[in-house]
Amino acid sequence: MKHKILTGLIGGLAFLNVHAQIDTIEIKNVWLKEIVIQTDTHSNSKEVLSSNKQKSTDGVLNTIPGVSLIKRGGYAWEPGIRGLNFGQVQTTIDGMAIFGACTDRMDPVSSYIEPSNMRSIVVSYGTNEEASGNNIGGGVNFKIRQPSFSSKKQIKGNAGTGYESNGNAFNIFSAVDYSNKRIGVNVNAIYRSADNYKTGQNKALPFSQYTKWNTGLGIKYKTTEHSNLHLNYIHDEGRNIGYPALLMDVLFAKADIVSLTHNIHLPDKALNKIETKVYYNFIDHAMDDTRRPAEEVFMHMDMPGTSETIGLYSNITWQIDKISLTTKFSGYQNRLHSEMTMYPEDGTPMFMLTLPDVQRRYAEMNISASADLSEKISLTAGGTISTSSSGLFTEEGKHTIQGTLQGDTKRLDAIYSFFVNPTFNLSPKAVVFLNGALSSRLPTLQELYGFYLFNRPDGYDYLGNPDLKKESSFNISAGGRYRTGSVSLSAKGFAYFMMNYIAGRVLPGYDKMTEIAFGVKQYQNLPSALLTGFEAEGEVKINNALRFTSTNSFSYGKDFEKNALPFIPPFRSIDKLEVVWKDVSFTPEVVFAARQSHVSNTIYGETASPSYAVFNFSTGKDFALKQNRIYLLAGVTNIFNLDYYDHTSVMKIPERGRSFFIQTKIQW
Amino acid sequence: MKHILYGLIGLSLIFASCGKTKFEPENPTQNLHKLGQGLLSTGDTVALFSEEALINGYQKIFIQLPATYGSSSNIKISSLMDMGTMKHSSPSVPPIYNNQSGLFEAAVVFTMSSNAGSWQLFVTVGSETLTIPVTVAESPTKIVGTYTSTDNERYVIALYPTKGFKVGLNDIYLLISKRESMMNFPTVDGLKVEMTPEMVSMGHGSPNNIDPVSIGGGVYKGKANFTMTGDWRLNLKISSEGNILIDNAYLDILF
Repeated sequence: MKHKILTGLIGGLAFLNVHAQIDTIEIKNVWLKEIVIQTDTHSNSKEVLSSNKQKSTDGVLNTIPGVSLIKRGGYAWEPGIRGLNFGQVQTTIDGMAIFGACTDRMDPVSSYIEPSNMRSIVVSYGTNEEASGNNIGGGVNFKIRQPSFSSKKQIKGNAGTGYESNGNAFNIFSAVDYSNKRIGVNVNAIYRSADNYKTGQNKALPFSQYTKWNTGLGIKYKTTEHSNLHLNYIHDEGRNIGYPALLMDVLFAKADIVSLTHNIHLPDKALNKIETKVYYNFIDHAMDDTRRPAEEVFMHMDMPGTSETIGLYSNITWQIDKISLTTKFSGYQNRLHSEMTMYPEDGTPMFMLTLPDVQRRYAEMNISASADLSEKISLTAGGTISTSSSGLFTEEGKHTIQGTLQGDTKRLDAIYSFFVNPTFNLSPKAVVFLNGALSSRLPTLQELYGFYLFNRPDGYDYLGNPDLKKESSFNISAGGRYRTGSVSLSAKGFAYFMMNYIAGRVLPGYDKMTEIAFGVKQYQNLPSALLTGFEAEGEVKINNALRFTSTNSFSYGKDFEKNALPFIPPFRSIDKLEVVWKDVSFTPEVVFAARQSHVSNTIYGETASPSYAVFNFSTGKDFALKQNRIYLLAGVTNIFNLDYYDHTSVMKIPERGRSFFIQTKIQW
Repeated sequence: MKHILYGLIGLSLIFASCGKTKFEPENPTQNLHKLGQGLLSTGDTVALFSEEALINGYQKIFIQLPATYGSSSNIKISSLMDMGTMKHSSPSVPPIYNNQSGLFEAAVVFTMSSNAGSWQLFVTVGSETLTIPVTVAESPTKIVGTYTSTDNERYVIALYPTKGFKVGLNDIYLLISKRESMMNFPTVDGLKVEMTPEMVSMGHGSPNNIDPVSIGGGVYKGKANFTMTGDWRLNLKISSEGNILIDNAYLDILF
């Protein structure tokens, strides 16, 4: 069943299947229109499709249960899963390895892709066949749009624009699809800009502005009846992006992401599908402090960085009776270079490499299989082995750290992971599932070789540690779902027993480099840490006129000394009512977050965050005008102009105050 | 196409290497800066060179004699600063013959620039002494310092030439001499040197530095970890047998 649906997706049928119910063991599929529709909850991953291209990637991620977002302002939120983030989760674009170039984590991969580039977002809650290999907490894969073929020549397209009153946020976009029997082409572009937004206290928040544009081009060529070639290119370019939580802003952040994919699909054959991709991406990022007031800038500095990745993967799927078997080979090379030049008022400029020309070569082999063992029991299981070499690729880089980071900087690693995921269909309405996984991840290049990287949340300069052990975790989760025609309820709980948990600890006797830092920390392996929590979702539908949905997440984490882990989101609930009356929808919504008081101030620099409840409302209509379809959506977010922030907001930067918005789109 | 390219590269490498073998043996003073020369009574020329134009600080001095003199010649070097009201010498390192270049290599620590007066170098070959006046420019950073110790002695601390510093660990060589008289500055071994590098414009230091230790001939060898480029100051504390002699010495490095 799963693979039929997935094949359907890959065949480009995604847009026709918007309301499809997709039952899988491992993959949770959520389709996004104006509204997130949850269709499945008994797995440990989730797929989200955006057909409303107006929402930002951050906005889409923000609605998915279990996705936590580290915020450094109004732009480029960094997605994590259940409170795990950075190297603990893997973020990919259509299976391609890609890494942000900023040492201050200003540019998570999600900031370089727009919903207009995407077919869907797959969220994996832990190790499974979608997110195997180098992670302990799953990950996010942004699947890119697939041009489709059509028997007759066809041109379709859409264009739209939106405006938000608070912060003068504006967007305009368009996409055009061309298809015939042999060729499918998709071109899309979007421009977004915003001034500083006002918080709930009606105060403009300095450095919350941004400007960006993004364009995507996909060309698919049918080589034979059962195979095609897909060339895809995405260019994303942000300029003048403010980061109110940080000491610097961004002058520019540019990404070029290119891939060539060869697909073979042989329906009804045992060797069912072969997907082979080669890819390259380059990120060019430059921080900037020239717009900050002089009294805030201790010393002017330039901090540019680049990230370059080249890679390939090959996915082969066999369908043998009731067993579906997938093997995947993938490999990549990533190179990071970051530097800093400081300009004192008197004296010469000072230069240093902050990521001293670091490189990782990584290869993994993955196998997973799923089968129906009986009418009531099905099983998915799999494993991955990976090898990696990490080191520095220039003499300058080696010389830079040789005096400060002790030990051999070149390292070879082997990691492995495997998972078992049985599902029990108790009745047509009820399903329970279990998932057990043992997984490990490599320390990131920043954790290995970072050179005095200032970490704003705890206020320490961080040194890498080339001797870090891999971090590993034993994950168990269990859950169930009950679904009738009008009611759907689901819940799952999880516990991660992490070993060699990587965290910063104070390095006594080391001089800080950043003026406002408290000292120097170095990444170390803690013996263990625990993460536990749950997600629960519910939906009640009455006809097509009324629908209530509730999405709830909770995480709790502590290290071996019982210190609360950082960036763990508190209980959060999104509750939404959709009423359709005379073809017009009305959607009141409340977003509630509980107080987070399980924090460690002394070790991780966090303080408690209060609870909040924010109310939103939107109304929308879509109608036909001649051959075209027109969508209108308007509403207000943060109706009561609450002054609030998320616990995962660095420096507790307040969120947007009351804001009115209007969006329109025409489709032809 | 690729093979042709590789072929061309290979051929050009062969030509390049052939070309090089035709050169005359390198002139050992070709890349040196000439300070001056004098004539011995035998009619032989003695020429003095430095690596670059002289600045105040530790400076290598190269002495060229006709090849017939060989390595065993008795050569000495010393310096004199004439400040008008007073005259004094400065520390120096005696010449040693270098087999490869055929030059005698010595060093002189110029404790001040020619702004303070006029410098002369004295080269003694056998029993004959030649005088060669030289000009010493102001060093861009302070690479030599003269300090009065707690027991009222005068010490000269000089840093070996500052070329080629890189971000990371760097060898640091210091030459420490003591003023016994205005004309005598013998080198001192066996002192304890504590070195703390500091990034002056930011006020921070760096980890894992190795204090210079005495390796003979008045030379102290240590390592400094420069975590970035820029203005670095080496703060130095000198002590002997548990008694602090100097605790405010510093030398500056810029790269």
